[in-house]
Parts: sequence; structure tokens; C-alpha cells
Amino acid sequence: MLHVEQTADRCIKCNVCNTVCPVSAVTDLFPGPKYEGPQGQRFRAGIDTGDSPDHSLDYCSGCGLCTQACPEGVMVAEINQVARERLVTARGGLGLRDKLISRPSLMGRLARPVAPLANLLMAARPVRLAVEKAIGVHRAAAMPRFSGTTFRSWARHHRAPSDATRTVAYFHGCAVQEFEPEMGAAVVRVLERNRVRVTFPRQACCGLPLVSNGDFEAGRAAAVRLVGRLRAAADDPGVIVANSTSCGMTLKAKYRELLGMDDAATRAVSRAVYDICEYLLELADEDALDRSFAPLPAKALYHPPCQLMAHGVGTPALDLLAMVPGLEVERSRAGCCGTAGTYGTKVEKYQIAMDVGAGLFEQVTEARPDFVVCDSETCRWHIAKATGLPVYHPVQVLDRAYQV
Amino acid sequence: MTPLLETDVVVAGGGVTGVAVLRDLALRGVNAVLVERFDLGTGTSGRWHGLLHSGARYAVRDQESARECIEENTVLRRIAPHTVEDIGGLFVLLPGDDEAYAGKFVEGCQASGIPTEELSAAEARRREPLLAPDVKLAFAVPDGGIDSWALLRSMAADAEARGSRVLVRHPVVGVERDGDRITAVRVHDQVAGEDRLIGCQWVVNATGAWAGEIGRMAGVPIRMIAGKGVMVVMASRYVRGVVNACRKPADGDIIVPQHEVAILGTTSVQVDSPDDIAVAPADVDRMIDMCAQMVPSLASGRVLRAFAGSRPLYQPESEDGGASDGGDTREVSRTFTVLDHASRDGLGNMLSIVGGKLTTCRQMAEALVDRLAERMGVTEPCRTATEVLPGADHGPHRLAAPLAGVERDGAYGELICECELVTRGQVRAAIADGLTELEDLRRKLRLGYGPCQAAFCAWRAAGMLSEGSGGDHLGGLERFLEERWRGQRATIWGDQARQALLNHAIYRGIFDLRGAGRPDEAAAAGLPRAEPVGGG
Amino acid sequence: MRADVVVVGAGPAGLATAVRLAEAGRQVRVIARGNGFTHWGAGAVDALGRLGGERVERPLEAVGRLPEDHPYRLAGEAALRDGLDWFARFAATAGLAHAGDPERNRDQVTALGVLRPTCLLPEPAAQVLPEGSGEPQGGAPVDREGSGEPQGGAPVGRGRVAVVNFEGFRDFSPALCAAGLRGAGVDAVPASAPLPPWDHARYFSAVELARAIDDDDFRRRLAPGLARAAAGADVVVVPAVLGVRGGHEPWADLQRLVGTPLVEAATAPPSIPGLRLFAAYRRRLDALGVGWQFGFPAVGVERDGDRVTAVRSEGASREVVTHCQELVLATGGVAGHGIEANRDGTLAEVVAGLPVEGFPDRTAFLGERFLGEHPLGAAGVRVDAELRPMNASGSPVHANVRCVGGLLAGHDPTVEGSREGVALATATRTAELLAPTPTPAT
Repeated sequence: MLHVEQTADRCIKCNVCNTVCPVSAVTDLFPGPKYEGPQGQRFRAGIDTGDSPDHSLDYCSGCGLCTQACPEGVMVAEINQVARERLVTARGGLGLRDKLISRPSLMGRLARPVAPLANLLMAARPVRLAVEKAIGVHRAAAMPRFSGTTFRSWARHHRAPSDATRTVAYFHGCAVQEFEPEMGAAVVRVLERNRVRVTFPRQACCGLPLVSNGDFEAGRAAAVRLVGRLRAAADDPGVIVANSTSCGMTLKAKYRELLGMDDAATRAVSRAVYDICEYLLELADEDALDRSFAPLPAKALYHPPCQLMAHGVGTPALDLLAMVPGLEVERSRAGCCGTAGTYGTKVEKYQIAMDVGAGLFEQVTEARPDFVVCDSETCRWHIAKATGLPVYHPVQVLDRAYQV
Repeated sequence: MTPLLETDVVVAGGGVTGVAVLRDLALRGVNAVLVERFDLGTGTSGRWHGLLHSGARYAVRDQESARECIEENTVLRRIAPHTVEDIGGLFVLLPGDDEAYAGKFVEGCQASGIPTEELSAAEARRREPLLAPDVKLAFAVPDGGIDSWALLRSMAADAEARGSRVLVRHPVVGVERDGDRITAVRVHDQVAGEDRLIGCQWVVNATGAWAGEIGRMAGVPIRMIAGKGVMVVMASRYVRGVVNACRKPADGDIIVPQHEVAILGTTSVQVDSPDDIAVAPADVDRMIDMCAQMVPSLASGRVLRAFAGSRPLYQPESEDGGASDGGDTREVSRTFTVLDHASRDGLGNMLSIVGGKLTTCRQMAEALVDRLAERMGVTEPCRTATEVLPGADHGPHRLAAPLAGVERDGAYGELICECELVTRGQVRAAIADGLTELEDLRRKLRLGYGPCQAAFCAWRAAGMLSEGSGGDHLGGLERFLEERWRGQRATIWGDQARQALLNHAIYRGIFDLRGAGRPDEAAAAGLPRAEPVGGG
Repeated sequence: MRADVVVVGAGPAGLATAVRLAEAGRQVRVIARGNGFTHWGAGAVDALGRLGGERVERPLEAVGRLPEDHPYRLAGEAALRDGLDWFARFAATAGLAHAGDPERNRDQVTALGVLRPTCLLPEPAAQVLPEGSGEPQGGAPVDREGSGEPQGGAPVGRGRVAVVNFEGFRDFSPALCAAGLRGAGVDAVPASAPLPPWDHARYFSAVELARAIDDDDFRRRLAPGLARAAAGADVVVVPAVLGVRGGHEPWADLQRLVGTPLVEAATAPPSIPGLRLFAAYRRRLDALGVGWQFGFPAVGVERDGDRVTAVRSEGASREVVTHCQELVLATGGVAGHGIEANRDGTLAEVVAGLPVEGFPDRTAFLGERFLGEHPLGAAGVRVDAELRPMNASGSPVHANVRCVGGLLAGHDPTVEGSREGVALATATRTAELLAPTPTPAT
């Protein structure tokens, strides 16, 4: 955590970060990453940190485009996140809404027994209005559909084929477990098609929503728990794949950067994590990827989530999708779709999120794809709601192309 | 010669001591004029580390100084809280330090009346997260930070409100003596370019490290030793309070946070002249390496600039030794001395105040003015310890205050100097107050102090100046940039090198400024290249 | 990760090199730690502005007078010509047409009123200012050597220039700019144009203003105030904020609405014209299928004998290894973070540890005057005629590594005004060397 703050030292005030911030582009409530990050940091480092004055900081969505664009290595978004934690602590912790939306697996578990009803209610306008008034989740914010069954119950009954030449552990995350088990099944099928055996270590929420909302204490507890559960898999099989680019990024880097977790176990787990597309592309580099995709004559628009770019591996999904015959893929020009995890669901931030995403939505309208492809689940739900188009994870497209 | 004016007392020297004397005289109803060669705080008062001493640094070897410090520490917090950062200090014991010294330290503090509290290594690191992992233990003391310019401005404002006059850019060039009395002080009006006389009854020599020069003009010997100290300004604050090494005072044993920066100090070398303020790269490296023993991340940190100041060390005639040339001047006592030249030298109406440290400036002034008042027959007692200074109602300076102000006013779009959060409104107000130069804006508003070294604010501010008045603002901008550049070459590498080259790419590359044909005014005026780079 | 050619760096040199290589048929991947001098420049194409402190009038001709180890001499004059030519066509195709002639320099208006020498200017900055009534109008005497000859383009003649800021924009002072222009003999008068009500009134910088001007409705509401502020001037100088998303249409539209030629003056970073160009480069790279790995620095290489076999870059939790056949370093010298200037005076090239001449101590990095020259700005990697870094004995360190742009020794792009030209010349030469088939015309 302190290392991140010290990167503020590197700022040469060049304004590059300000040119890529999607939030300051659409609202003047947010003065931009340079002001909030390295500039403001110099005024926060004192002994009187109790009362942080940074109300404007709250509008930072944490998309991280600033950190990526900075040529000097200032970790602007991370500085903001650390400052947000101080702000939240000074205010006495998260409010009810942020406590709830930071715990997706809790919400999933609660709704699971009554999933169809819960989904009906969450689609009903009066219910959404009431929810908005009660806790501040915007009435129109995209919500995932609760699933009546969990991914792990599918995995328990899944029989792995016996021709595997490698093994990976699968970190499926809350979204696959509670909301999209079919997505997880696609991941497993694609891996098994490539003779990779998939294990399902006991796991839990990575804690990213807690951390990004500013509750580092609860986030750290989640992190320590998860690292403990994945520790063995980090050694054997030594590869942990994650389909959520946000969770993957959290495991790879945020425990160290934001929570200051620098112990051997955390390091081992972090080093073992691969984004699923990153992993599949490495298989392809080794000529170990099954390229017998059936043609999928369709047009897709691919949006790389901002938190995928934070992995530093570029956009492996584009290379993979290019292997599917007949699939025309246009790349999104947007850096961020706007939702930035839970940010866009909040009543005071929803319009900002929609304005940030407007460019992407316009590009979708102009491009008229059959579907959109995106690696991050909250982005998928947000884009689907805004465009009305189906939005798939890249692996779901590959899965389809394998199945025919 | 054109007489300028007549007064009772001429105070020479616009550092904290001189201005404190002026204020003390004003509070006792005495007419006085202060004359200063450059601007207030351009001598030692503007070239130091900003430590509000608890006195603990002297507790072992110089308990008289220590006691003076802790007393004045309390007084300054009362009368000038707005100039003080209430941040506390630590003395840390590192492996290799003499544990016996720690024992003497505690005893000395007790004997001097300085409250201390022992902290375990864990407690110390909770308080200062960047402390070296091998710190063994620490002592907390009531050190603080003090902004000398804010103090100067407050004291001067108080004195002027009570009828005193402050004449800056009026160096003393001589005195008129009639037998055993000075009848007038001759000053050079730099703006008008001619000498003036100020008729007076009494003269106070408060020129600190330059006291010997005034003495020479008056015909009395005052032997001053210029004890040069180098300080390094880091681009960010690193520590919450002051961090000292718990050992016999040596080079690189103190880190003083001041506003958004940290000042590493210091060295102590006798030099020929108090105007010798050159800093060598080796000095900078030494400060960083030594202070990094206490806070390791300093070693990879970004340096903003380095500067040097001269301690005003008095060598009494009767003593032999003190420090030899080039030697360590730490052995010379830091307490102060009032010299009454009547009894000492047969000059009836001049007093000098030498030695001391900034923390005790008010006390020094009190001692001197008590003596002077007695000689003048003034019976008003000293009230400077109880009368609060203008601005005191703002309370202690808080680091986050500028940011809080911008947030409260939603003034993000008004920032001219982004590093220091200086707004358009502040610049406009300063211009309305009569400030016409970028240098003035820098000193008053901290414009250009930050890590980017005026890359953006300089030309924005030049633009605002040009909205108000004609004149060569482009030339003023070039001069300002050159001024900021002085003395930076010892401290530029890494991040700061990238900053310097970006700034060069902006001003020379985009704006094609080459500074050709613009005279270096300071050199032209024969002034030493001694414009202060400041303590923050 | 596998690539054919890896280009490290996404500044003017890296972008041009990646595009030209891809156009020539190589499969390219760009790895960059962040943005660079496209965002920090004047928004022009400098070929050679000054030589020995003197203003250059004919840059191509002056190349012959440069030292042998200057990048232009190593890449060859033909590469500079071809590079400038290619750029003009590429930019025009992207809706960013440039004016100018590589045979002679022209003036670019800057926000401080100084006229800087450059070679190619985007149309919004290209309008030549009319001369004033003859007498210098007072204001700052500017040390400027003008050529005194017409610079081509629109007829010059005499006339008045209005220097207009958009109210509230902090990064442009019409008074300062007009004073500077008057010192150069231009009859310039400051003015201010109000902004229509918009959603960034509380806080905006050049980027937000430029984005607003991208919107045609905003332009329609802006134009009348701008026209009034222009008050019958023959040319209007405004800060370079006329749209950022695409080409020059916002400028052209606003010019039509106002009814007077508009000239964009170069401001301090961020360079809005630079952002337009960067966006054009990104679109071209995407269209060419160039891989883009942005935000993480390259930190090392893997070698096999004298060949580099892979580039290592930082990833979120472990290094990312990209195997490659060829490596091009476009990392930009000290300013671009391609060379680290150490505390002890030594320099280090950050990706492959290529030899770079350091200094005896760090006080030698920089000159005595800030506005003078700084040896550190000219520091770089020495290369041979094929742009391969050389070791002390003059032979290439690696068979398959090239260096382009600001990373090269033998020139200071700021002082001599050659940044974009060197980028284009060395990009062109690299594309020639790595693609034996002739580069396609477009």
C-alpha cells in the first residue's frame, strides 16, 4: 500500500492520465486522475489523516486507464483507491448499500432458494424503484440473474475426460458460481477440448468489490481466506485460470498493491494466476491448442475490459477469436464500458457510467454486430442492458465454435 | 545625500531576529525602521529546515540551549499557531548507535524540561510507517514544524500595523558616526539606485551571519563564523513528524517534513562567507544516504532541490579556537549573545544580537530590546510572548488544508499551480495587492514550488500578469525559469531528469524560448547569486 | 506470446515504425509503458528547426551539414523525404491533412506568441498570419529571425489578427500571446469568447473543451460569440482545442460558422492535435491487426548468441515473454524513459542494456541555463547505418535489434527541432531494412 503511494513521486505532471480518464470526460464532478492521484497524495501524507477532504475522489471509478497510460509508472488509480479507503474509514465504514453490493456471493446465496422469484422481482420496475429509494442501487442498473443452481454443484457431477496432458485449477469466482454457471461450464469444456484437466479447489470471493469500495479490512480477510484455499493449487497444478478479468487482476496484483500482502503464499498464488484467454493463447503459442473451430459466420464486437488491460498481456481474446473461421471481429474503441464493477450500479454514479459507455454503445449501434464479446461479467451485464444484444465471454464463443 | 527619514531605532536585518526586534519595539511604543538588503527571510531564516525545536537535539551537550528551545516552542505555539505544524518528533535508535547516548539523551531532556516518551520499535513504526525495519526504539518529543516566511509575514504585519516601517531592498552600506555615537545609517535604495540616510538614535544589528559586516561599517569587531549547512528537499513528505537520529549530532541526522515536502539535513562546515551557498553533488548524496538509514525509501526517492544556509555563529574575542576553517562547527555553542557595543567597544548607541536559532528568535529579541529599552529609558515591558500574532485564529497549519479548501469550493477548475493548489483567485488577489513578478508570486503563494518546478504554472501565471499590465512578461517568464534552475544541477537524476527534459521540451521545444538577449539582472546589479530557494 | 516484430514504445517513432512495418507485411506487436511525445509536442512535424542555434530555412538541404552520426545522416536523406511524404499521406487519409513543404520551414503560432519553426503543420494550424502595418506594435521584443519571405499557402498581405481565448480556459492568455505576436510584427489584439452553457463549467481543461467542440451543436452555439470576439479581424488565433476525437472537421466547421480563418496555437501538454494523431495511429494499427500491449514497460530481453529472441515486459504478477524475430526500440531517450539517468552520472538503456555513454558526474547532465542546451537531451544509443546499436568497437551488439527516434544518440530533438522528422526517417529506414519488398504506396 505504501509503495503504491510512493509512486506519486514519479509524476511529471504531463497530463497524459487526464486524456484517458473516462469519468472526467463526462462529468465535472471529477477533476481527473492527476488531481486526485499524485497531486492530491502530497497533501494526504500528513499526521492528520483522520479527516480526508477528498469528496471528489469518490467519483473515481477505479477503471485504471490512467495507470496504464502513465509513462512514468505512477499508479494513479491505485493511489486513488488507497485514498478512498481512508475516506471510507474516516466516515465510519461502508454504508448499507456498499456493504451489500460488495458481497455478491452473499447476495447470491440468499437469493438462490428463490431464484426465479428474485429474478422476477428484480425485473419489476416498482421493486427496483423501492430498492433505489431504500439503499441507492439505481433502478435501471444492470443486474445479473440469480441462478437456482451453483456452478460447483455442476462441477461436482462433472466427469472429466481421461485424455488430459495438463492440469489447471479453475478460479471461477462469484459470478460463475452464483449467476452464470453455464459460463463456467463453457470454460471447462474448452479446456477439456484442449486436453486440460480442470480441478475445482475450494474457494471464495476474491474480495475485489470490498476493496474497490474502500473496505480494506474485510477485503483483506477475504484475500487471506482465498489465498489459503488456493495455496496448494499454486504449487500443484501450478496454474490457476480465471475467467473474470477483474478477479484475475485482483489475485495477480491487487492483494500486493493495495493490501500490502507480500508474503510467500500470496506471491505464489499471484504468480500462478492466468486469465483464461491468456492461458489458451499460450497453448496456441506452444502449438497445443485445438484449432478445429467450426465456422461461425457472424459479426462480433469485442470490448477488452479496462481491467483486462491491467494484466499486461494485451488482448489475447482477439488472437483467439481470429482463429474462428467466418467470425468478423471489430474491436471496441472505448477504454471503459462505464460500469467499473459496482460503480455503475450506484444511484449517484449510474448516469456517469452510462455517459462513459455511450461511445461504446454508439459504436455497437453503428457496427451492428450479432453479439458483443467481453471478458468481464459486470461489463457484460452492463453492455447487454444498454444495447439489448447478447454479450458473451470469449470462451463462450470458442465453446460454441468447438461444439458444432 | 538625500535624507530619507528620521527614526528612533534602525534595525538592520530582515530575518526572524530583526523582525522580532521590530515587533517587540513596536509593542513597546518605540519608533523603528527595519532595513533589509534583499527581501524578508532571504538570509538564514529562509535557508533552513523548518524545525520547531523541542530542544532535545541539545539535551546532552548544551542544556542552556535546550531549555531556551522548549520554552520558546511553547510560546510560538501560543502566539503563532498558524505558522506551526503540530506534528511531533521522534529520536530513533538504530543498530550501531550508542545505547549509552540514549540514556544521556533522556536525562538531558528531563534536566532541560523537555517531555519525552519512549516508544517500542513497533509503536514507532505505527507512527512512522516508513521507518527502517531495524529501528530498535524511539523517543517522542514535542518537535514541530514552523514556516519561517509565515512567521516573518505575521510579525512584520503586526509591527507595521503599529507604525513601524519595513524597507526591503535597502542594504546598509555604511554609518555616519559622530564620536562615539552613530547619527545615521546609510542605505542603498536599489529601486531608485541611490544612497539614502536614515537618521536615528539607536542601531540594532540583527543581520545574523552578516553581523560582522555591519560591525566593520560601524568600526567595531564582531567575529562571526559562517557555519554552512546543506539541506536537501525531497519531492514528497515521507514522514508525518520530525525524525532525528538518536546520537551525537552529525551530518544527515534529521528529516523535517514541511508542508508537502521533507527536508533532509544537514551538514556543518565553516566557510569563508555567509554568501557561500553552493551545494555539491557529494553533499546531496551524503544527506540522502545518511537520512536513508532512518527512512530507507529516501534512497530511491525524488529530490526537488538542495540549498545551503549559513548559521550565524558568534566567536567571542576572548575564546581561542571554536572551529578552524573547514572544520565542523557543531562544537560552537548555539545559544545567543547580546553585544552592547557601549561597554564592549565604546560605541554608545549600537547593540548586536548574534548566534541563536530560529526557534528562539522572540526570546532573543526580548533580551536585546530589554537591554535597549533600559538604555533608552523606555519602561514598557515586553509583551511579545503573550500577544498573539495576526492570523493566529486560523489555528495550526494542517497539511490537507489547501486540498480541503479546493474541495470545499469546488475550485478544481481554478488551479493555476496544480502542485501547490494555487488558484486563479489567489493569483488575482496577489496581483491586485501589487505583486508584479513571478518571483513574488512564488514567495507569497508557493507557486512553482512543487515537483514539476513550474512547468505549467509559470506560463499560466505569466499570462495572468500580462492580462493586468503591459511589460515584458515573456522576459519575466524566462528569468523566472532561469531562477528556478539555479542550483538544481546537483539534484537532477531519474524522475527529476525526466521532468527537467519535459520542461525543456515545453519551453524551448514548443515555445521556442531561448532566453537570448535577456540580461541576468542579479548579475548586472552586482548582487550575489543568492536568491533564496527556500525551505519548502 | 509470439510476434514477428516487437516495437517497444508508442511515441512518434514507435507508432510510425509499427504502422510502416505492418504496411510492409510484417506482423507487429507494440509494447509500451504508456503514452509519450505525441501527447507532449507542438502538434507539428518538425524536420530541422535550428542548427547551431540559428533558424534553418531549408531543412532537407541542411541535412548535409549535419554530423555523420546524426540520425538523418545514418538513415539517409531519402528516408527523411520518404518519411515526411508517407506521413502527409497517412495523415490526410485519416482526415488530418497537413500543409507544408519539406524543402522549407514555416512558422507555427504558439500560445506565448512566439513563432516556432517547423516543417509540416496540420491544416488548423497552417494559416499564415498577415503582417502588421509595419511598425512593431510594442509588447515583448522577441528574438526572432523571420525569413521575411512568403511561406506559401494563403496570400499573406497585411491585416489584423484577433487572439481569442475561450473564457475560463486556463492554458491560453490572449494578452501574452498577442504581445508576443506584436513583437514579431503582427498586428494582434487580444479578446475573449464566452462558452455556451455546458456540463463542464466547473472544471475543464483542454481535453474536455476539445471534446465539447467535437459536438456540432456545441460549435453552433459557440460560433457567434467567437465571431463577435474576432470583430472583423482577418485571422483569428485560438488555442489548439478544436476537437480531439477525429479529424479536422470541427475546425473546418467552426471556421465556416465564424466566417474568418482560424489558426490553432500550440499549447503546453496535453497536445490536442497530438491526441488526434494518436487516435489516427491507433485506428490504423487496429485495422492492420497490430497487437497492442499498453501500460507495462519492457524490462529485458532474452538472447541466443547475438540475436534477441524475446522481449520481457512487466505483467500484473509475472513477466510476460514475447518471442520475436526482430526488435525495434522506440523508447525515446532519457525524456521518454528509454534511458535512465542515474544518481552517479551513468546512463542505462532500460530494455536491452545497450551501451550508452554516461557522464563523469551528474552535474554534467544539464547546462547552466535552463533555456540553453542540456547534454542529457542528446544522450542516446549509437547505431550504425542500419540503425543497429553498436558496441565500442563499432560492430552491432545484436543482429536483429534496431533503434529509432529519440533513443538515438547524436541529436537533441528539442534543441534542433527534429523530433517528428527523426521519428519518421528512422521508422522509414527500419521498414525498408526489415521489409525487402517495397512499401506499398498507401
